[in-house]
Amino acid sequence: MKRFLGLILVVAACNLWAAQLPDNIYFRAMNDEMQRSKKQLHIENNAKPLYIAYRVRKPHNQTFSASMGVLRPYTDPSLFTTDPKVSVYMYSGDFKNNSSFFREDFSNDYVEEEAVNDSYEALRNHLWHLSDAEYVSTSKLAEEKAAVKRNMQAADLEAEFSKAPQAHFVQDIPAFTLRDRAFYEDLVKQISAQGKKYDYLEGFAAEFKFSQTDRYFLDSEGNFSQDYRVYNRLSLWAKFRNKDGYVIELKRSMELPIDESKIAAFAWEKSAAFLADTAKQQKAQKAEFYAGPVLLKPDAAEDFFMTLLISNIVETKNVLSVRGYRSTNKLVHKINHRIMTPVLDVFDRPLEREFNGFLLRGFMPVDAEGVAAQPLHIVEGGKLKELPTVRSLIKGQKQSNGHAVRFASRYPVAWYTNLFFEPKNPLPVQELEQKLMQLCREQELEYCYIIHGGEGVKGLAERVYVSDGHREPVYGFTPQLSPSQMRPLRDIVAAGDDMTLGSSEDTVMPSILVSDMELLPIEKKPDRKPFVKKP
Amino acid sequence: MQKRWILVFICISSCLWAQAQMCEVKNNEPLKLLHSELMRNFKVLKTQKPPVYYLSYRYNEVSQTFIEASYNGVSTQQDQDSNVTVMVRVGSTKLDNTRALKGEMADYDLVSDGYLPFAQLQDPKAFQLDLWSATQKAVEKAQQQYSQVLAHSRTRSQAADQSDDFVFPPKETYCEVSKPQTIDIEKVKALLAAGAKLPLGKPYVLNYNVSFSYTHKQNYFVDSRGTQLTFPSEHMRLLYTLSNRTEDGMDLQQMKTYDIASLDELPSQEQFLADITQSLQKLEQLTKAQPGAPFTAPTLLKGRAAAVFVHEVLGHRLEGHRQKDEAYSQTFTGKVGQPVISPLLTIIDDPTQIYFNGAKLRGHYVYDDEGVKSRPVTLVENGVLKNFLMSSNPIKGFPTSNGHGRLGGAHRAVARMGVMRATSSQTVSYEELEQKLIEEIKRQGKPYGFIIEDLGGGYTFTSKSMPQSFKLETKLVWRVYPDGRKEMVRGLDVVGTPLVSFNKVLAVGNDDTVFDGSCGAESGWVTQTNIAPSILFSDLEMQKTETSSWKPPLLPSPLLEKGGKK
Repeated sequence: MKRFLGLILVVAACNLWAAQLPDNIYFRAMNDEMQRSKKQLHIENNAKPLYIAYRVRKPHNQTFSASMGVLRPYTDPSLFTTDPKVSVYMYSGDFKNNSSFFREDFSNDYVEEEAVNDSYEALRNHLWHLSDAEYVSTSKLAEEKAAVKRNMQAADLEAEFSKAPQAHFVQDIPAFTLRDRAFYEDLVKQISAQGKKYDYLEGFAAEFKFSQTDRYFLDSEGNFSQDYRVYNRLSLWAKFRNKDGYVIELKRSMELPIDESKIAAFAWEKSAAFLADTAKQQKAQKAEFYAGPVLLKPDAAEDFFMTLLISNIVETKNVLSVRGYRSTNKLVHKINHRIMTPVLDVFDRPLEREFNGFLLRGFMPVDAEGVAAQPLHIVEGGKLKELPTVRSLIKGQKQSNGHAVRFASRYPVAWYTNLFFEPKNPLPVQELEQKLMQLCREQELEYCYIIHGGEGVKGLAERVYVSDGHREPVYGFTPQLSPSQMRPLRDIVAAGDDMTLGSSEDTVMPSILVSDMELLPIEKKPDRKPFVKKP
Repeated sequence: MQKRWILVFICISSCLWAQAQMCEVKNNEPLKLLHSELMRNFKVLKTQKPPVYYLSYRYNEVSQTFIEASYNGVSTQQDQDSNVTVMVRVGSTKLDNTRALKGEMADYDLVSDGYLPFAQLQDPKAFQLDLWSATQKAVEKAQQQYSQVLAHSRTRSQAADQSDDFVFPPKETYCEVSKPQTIDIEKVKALLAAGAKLPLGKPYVLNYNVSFSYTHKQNYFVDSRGTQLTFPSEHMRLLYTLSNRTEDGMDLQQMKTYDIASLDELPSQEQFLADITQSLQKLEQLTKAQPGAPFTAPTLLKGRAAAVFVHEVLGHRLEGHRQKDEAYSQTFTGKVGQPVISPLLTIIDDPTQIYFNGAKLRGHYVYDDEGVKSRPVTLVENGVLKNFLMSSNPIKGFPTSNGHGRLGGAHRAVARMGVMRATSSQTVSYEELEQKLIEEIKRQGKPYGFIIEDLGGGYTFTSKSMPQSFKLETKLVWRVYPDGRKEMVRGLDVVGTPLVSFNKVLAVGNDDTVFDGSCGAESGWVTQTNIAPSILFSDLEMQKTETSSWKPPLLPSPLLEKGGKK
């Protein structure tokens, strides 16, 4: 049903904005240069560009930060012009199945994103330069690649670069709002001044960063999108020595509530929790080797899924590099196979913009190859149902599902957008903890672990004792997880009802109970003691 | 007498622009704070094993403005920053952690996070905490380095120069403060925008930009010998660059810089546009010019080119630490009192000089980065080597610093140039130099010689592992025929070896010219000035410039298209 709704949204957007290119300097410059590139960009005896994409991003920022109650210098956004950044990528000739790093294998001529002055002429000029460099580079690569294929006698493994229905998405872009400087400077100063109350802290800083990135995309097939992303964040940083002499630098960064009237209360609450964690960590015990049931709180669950599942569902196409064709993804051939516990289903929802009053980072109506992004039901009842794909198709796939994402210096790759890990039968957290204790007793353990997040000296966990339920904070552990060993995904026995937006802001998941996990203690020696007494 | 008058006048003017004020060290809060925290740390650190025997803090408050225009767009950036660098010496002046290990290149990097991200002086407690934390890291690193130095000193062969590793800088106090100038952004924008219109749509301009930058620093320096200094420094520059690429992949560039003390010294719009127009004409001419061929011939380096030549070919080899560290080629080590270059030339480095012929000099500074007062040094007199540029790292025969220890970023200071000037007691006019060039071409029976009007920069190898050669990239070269005809050529670089080249000076002009720039070396990027007159060489060698594998774009510039909605 949800998937159906998502499709309706895309179709509606397409009809509403059908072929109406927004009228602004970014689209005028992109469209004018695109038309010229399509018609005229050609090297004799070489194929014309197969696909061209232009992207312009214009960032706006306003930052307020303070350390131990002292404001850091403020950069007045009205005196700091942020230039739009232009990038061009192109597929030329035989260009499917390229490793995203294929270019680096052959050439150092990669064209990076460039910041340009904000004018039609500057945009045109840079699009011209970048298109030229990209076409020359990709043409050269196509020839080199053909030679590699001949030498290796490599056959094509997959279908051609596929066609896709037209996709358009246009959203009005509001002017970036400058926040009240006096209010936020006072707030960040006060929040960071809390650090002075904690004798063991060697530094405590806080930062509010309000950002908006205006995004413009146009490709050679007439697909386009115009939207904006907002990143409003609170970052907290603390440095201290724990009782064993390890220097710990903790950093926590989180999305601010969409409703800005709630920001102050949110910041006070989160900074208090952060400082409370530093207090726990300062007096925590060092971990020892442990094997047994573990309750992972949402932050820790995010790390768990990131390592075991998320890294395995992306970059789904086979690629050709100088080392030959290789599969970057071992799950491609496991569609309809059981890969994890039936306790949770996994969804990818590119069209969802917010969760519980916070913005989701993965919102993507049109992907980096001009395809309308579709919602996916990735894991259902423990079975893998579908994977994010791009225009270079994988076996059994007819069309891209619009999950091409482009990272700096790389060609678009199949990637997730907003991932939701939804329990079938969510349990209240208290019940989850009781279940942990039950497992602990069954295995005749003295205590079990609740991991809050992180690892190594920065990790924070609690030992919960079976005898009386008392808890001790613990640091210095490393969960034994590896992307190549997905087995622990089957050991999830229950999940909580505390659905939480992860620190990466594109994953939403609850606490999970894993029946069996190994934790190794860190081997690092403590840092040197201070020569001079802290001032 | 007259010169002294001019200098005094100029100094007063500059002080007025920068609104600099003398102050009392004892009343300067940042200095007091830095000094007290340094002494608190040093009291304990000097008792450690191995002991810290010298400690210094450099703290800078930096404010910057950058405005750039190109292709009908203008962008502006204005921000402030502050940073601290901690210098720790462990061991003793005789042997410390900075000793260059024989057979290895020395480590000039200071603790990378010696930069304090949140260093602010408004809250003494927060600032002290940051200083304390950075000092801890710096001492940890210095002690590690010292262990390595001890191990090496016991196992490696003895160095030829057994001088100490450090000489304590004399105790100094100095207090002068200024606030950053207020920049009239709109005035600058208007000038840049007017300049940026000229290259627009020119088929022989592939890229260009016109920019203005202003940096104001309030520098603070304290050390464990009791030195306490604070003084301002500022640089203001207007710059334009125009570039193109030829069909054979050669990148061409024309540029001009205006180093000024205040906005009042900005060129008039009329002058600025005339300069850009002239540079555009030169770029067009260069684009059409024939590529030159490798050749050795009489060559006249015009003032700016000669200034870069002196800097690269001679200046770096006169830096003190290169005479001691055996990784370097030590071209002039042990040659004091001997003729090393043409007797026509005298080389002086005088960082105390603020202006030359009305132009503000980027290489000027009051105190070096080791807290030593800057002073003029005669390096070469009538071709005879007299002295070296010295930091607080002594070398045989030169036990003290002469105020040339400089650094940029988180690096250890080494001897660097400040305001280097080449002069001569026997000069001729530029016209006579050109005449002498033609005579020399005829005398040698060469088909042509060269006039190098401008150099963009260059580099020189100073380590033993590399040949002792230099390469200077030309911006504008003329081929001069025996009949006096001149033809612009492109794609030639000057190459050679220092001892040979500097002994081929035939005549020196009286047209002293300033080349202001920045120089990057072991101790980071520092601002510098080089002043030289035109110099005629009996021969210099030219080699072909490296070309890019990239051709000019397949399509013409979109800005040459007519019409269209912008």
